[in-house]
Amino acid sequence: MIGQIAIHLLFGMSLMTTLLYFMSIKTGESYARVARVLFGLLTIGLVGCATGLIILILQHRFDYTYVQSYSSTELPLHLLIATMYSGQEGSFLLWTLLVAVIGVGLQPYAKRHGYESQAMAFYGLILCFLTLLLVAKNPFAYVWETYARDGIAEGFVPQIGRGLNPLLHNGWITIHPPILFSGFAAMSVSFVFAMAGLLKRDYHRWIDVALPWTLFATAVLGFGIMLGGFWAYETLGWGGFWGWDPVENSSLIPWLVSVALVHTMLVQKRTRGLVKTNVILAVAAFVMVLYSTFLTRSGILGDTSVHSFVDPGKFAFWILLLFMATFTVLGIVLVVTRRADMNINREEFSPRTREFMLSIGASIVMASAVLVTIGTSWPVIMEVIGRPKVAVAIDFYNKVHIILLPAMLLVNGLALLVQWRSTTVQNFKRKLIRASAVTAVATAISVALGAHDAVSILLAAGAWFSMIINVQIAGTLYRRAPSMLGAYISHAGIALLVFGIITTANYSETYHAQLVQGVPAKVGDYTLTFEGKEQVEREFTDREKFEYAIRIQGNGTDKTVKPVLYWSDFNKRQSAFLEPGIRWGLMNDLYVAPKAYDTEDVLYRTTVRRDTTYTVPLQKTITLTFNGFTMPTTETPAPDGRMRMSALLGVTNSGSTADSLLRVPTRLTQGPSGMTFEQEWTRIPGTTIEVGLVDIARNNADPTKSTGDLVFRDTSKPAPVARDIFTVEFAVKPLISLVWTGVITMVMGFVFSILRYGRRKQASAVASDEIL
Amino acid sequence: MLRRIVIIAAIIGIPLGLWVASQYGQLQDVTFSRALEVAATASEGEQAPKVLIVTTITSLAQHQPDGLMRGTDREGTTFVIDYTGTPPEQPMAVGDRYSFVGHVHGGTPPRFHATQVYE
Repeated sequence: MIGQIAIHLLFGMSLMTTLLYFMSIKTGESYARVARVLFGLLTIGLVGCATGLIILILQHRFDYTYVQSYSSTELPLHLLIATMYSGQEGSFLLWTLLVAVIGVGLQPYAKRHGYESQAMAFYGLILCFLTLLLVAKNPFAYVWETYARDGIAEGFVPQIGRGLNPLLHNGWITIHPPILFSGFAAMSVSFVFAMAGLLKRDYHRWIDVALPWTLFATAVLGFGIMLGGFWAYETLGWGGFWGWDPVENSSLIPWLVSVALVHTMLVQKRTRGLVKTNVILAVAAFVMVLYSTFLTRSGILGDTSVHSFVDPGKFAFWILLLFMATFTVLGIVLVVTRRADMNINREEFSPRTREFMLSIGASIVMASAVLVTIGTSWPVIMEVIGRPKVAVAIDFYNKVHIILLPAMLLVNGLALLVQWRSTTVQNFKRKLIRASAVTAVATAISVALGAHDAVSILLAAGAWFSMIINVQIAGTLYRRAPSMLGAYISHAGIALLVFGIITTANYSETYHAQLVQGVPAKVGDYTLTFEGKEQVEREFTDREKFEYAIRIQGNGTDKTVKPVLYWSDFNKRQSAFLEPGIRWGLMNDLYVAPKAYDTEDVLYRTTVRRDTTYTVPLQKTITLTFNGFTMPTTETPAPDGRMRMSALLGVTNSGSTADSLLRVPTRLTQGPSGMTFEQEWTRIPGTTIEVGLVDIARNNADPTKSTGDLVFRDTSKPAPVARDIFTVEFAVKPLISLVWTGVITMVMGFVFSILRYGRRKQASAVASDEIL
Repeated sequence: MLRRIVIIAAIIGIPLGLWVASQYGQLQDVTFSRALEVAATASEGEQAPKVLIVTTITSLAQHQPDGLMRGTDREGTTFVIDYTGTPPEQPMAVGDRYSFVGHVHGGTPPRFHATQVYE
């Protein structure tokens, strides 16, 4: 109850904070002082709510719907804490909390630069919507409130929690979502500074003020996206790190817009051009955060993604829509009303200038953002025009980026070859020829090493061109001005990432292998041995989770990895949960993805069709003619109460003169994934051979076309021992380490730039204080 | 010049992007046996690709012991339909023809898990 009241109070406080900050724009300090206090209390309240929710989870208070839906008593401490943001309500709370916490740092910063009232007013408005979402999706709702329609009595306390999705049971959940949401939260800052700039009719200074925050948001969101990819690669077992899923795209789109914004901000800093573009991009980056949230949280995508999207209910749906619409309209209105002011001093950039090239580069990045948005929104577009809701194939994203990615790399290199304002043709030509020559040699080496298809060659050439120019400039700056290295480190990181993508996408070798326990199998250049299995995480009662030890030998490697394959009650055992086993390496990863676990079929199996004669595999003198199945209604039930069906077989033994009719029964069990059959062994008269009916494939349209699977055994011989078989997909992924190294390098570059612009901003603020 | 380049690129690029997306965002209109083949290409733990099957209802869910509808595709193959989408405005009836969108689940017998329906 306290939690629910607190959420409503927080919404009221955010409304008041916003109102007071807006009033302080005209009236000054007195309202701002109260707003500051309220904002502090709001943040403390949100910290209190998040802490309260974690305490309820740790205490296993299953009378709260959220706690019951996402946690259970078996979860270890780190996963219990992660439960706080594993559901929709909790993740909204985390997002709101992070926005407020960032706001605590933003407020004095904005005050120092004379933007407090305007920026914090918009910031408060964002918090209004976020807290309103919490009112709609309250994590403190009781079970009897949520399920009142189902007749749940007040005070009812469920004894067990549903538990956390088994896919989320790993360490990455403790890191990835908070970082990603920090990136989302930080994206608000450039937006509010842009809005503040428009309100103040200050179209240039906001760029200086917002740039370190934009860099911070881009770095954090980029790092969060990479962690998501790494998590998918390490845990989900499908072998890749990026699947163009709506949830992945929903983080990528605002990140791309933010990358474009960083570059156009730099152009405005140097030239005072692209004034409107920067405001529009700052608005777009934030609106894309909201749009992506709307797409993935409103339930509008339905089942077009591998991620499951819970329908949040109509109230939350409309709040999400209103949230997005409000800030889009606010942005458009302010841009349109200030349009005339912003057009003053508009100048054309010469094509041989860095500002021109950076603008082209930003446009290509935006093209990527637009195309990913189109692809992600495709199910919605289809629904709007009355067509079946369907997602675009992954190939769409891959194909469009085959053009965009090399173009980005090329423009990146060219932008660094030209100067701000003007470049002499001679100078440009000289640098271009030198860089192109080295690129040609490096690309030729790549071709010699195996890059044969046109796409790989194109990407490799683009990545080399960008890498060579960035490294060359970074080398020059290393001694002279190391604080300026940030951009070049980031660009080199992207080139490394592209090299990683080329090698893993084109030169990974994948093999399917059925590994019989204890029997080494040659798979590619390696020998794989399935050494046995071991049950882990026995404390979880919803699953029997096994690790399968696979020893990998060859090419200097001798390492045992432990992929995991199990079924869980969490998804009613409809599909398996998989975790790969990985031998990490600098030059290549050896990736063992589990596919299936079976016991060797040691019985002789024959599929029979009606009125067809078959020879018994264990004794060639006996033939069987399948005459059809009996129906359960004509059979007496088995002693254990299960229904029975039988296969009717005519037996002919050439060793004797008499033919006979054999009735082979099987017991039926209706399971969640269909009917299962348990054979009752039936002796073929005059022999030691027994036959069993293990499967029936019914043909409803024509029952005479139904088929059955028979198995045979010879009781006079010892029963063969069935061995375990582990089916895996074994992949050698060359230089995938470049993907992770590339992204980390890129993020490090951003950190360099944040420090550089942050320090410069601090110095200028101190200087202006001194002047004042 | 920059402005012109960006505007022209947007005017050409956005409709082109939509057209390319439309080429990759189409459902395969298949028979049930083809849907089974498509599903067989998906690995364990992965959802089978979505397809569309034009179906004539042959038996309603309430008339089957397993509570699932039966229908025939245009080849006349009868299959089990587990429909979990929004109910159509008019209740489904035997003999009605619908375009069901969904994916195949393995098992015995395999069933078509439909999540959307178009008349």
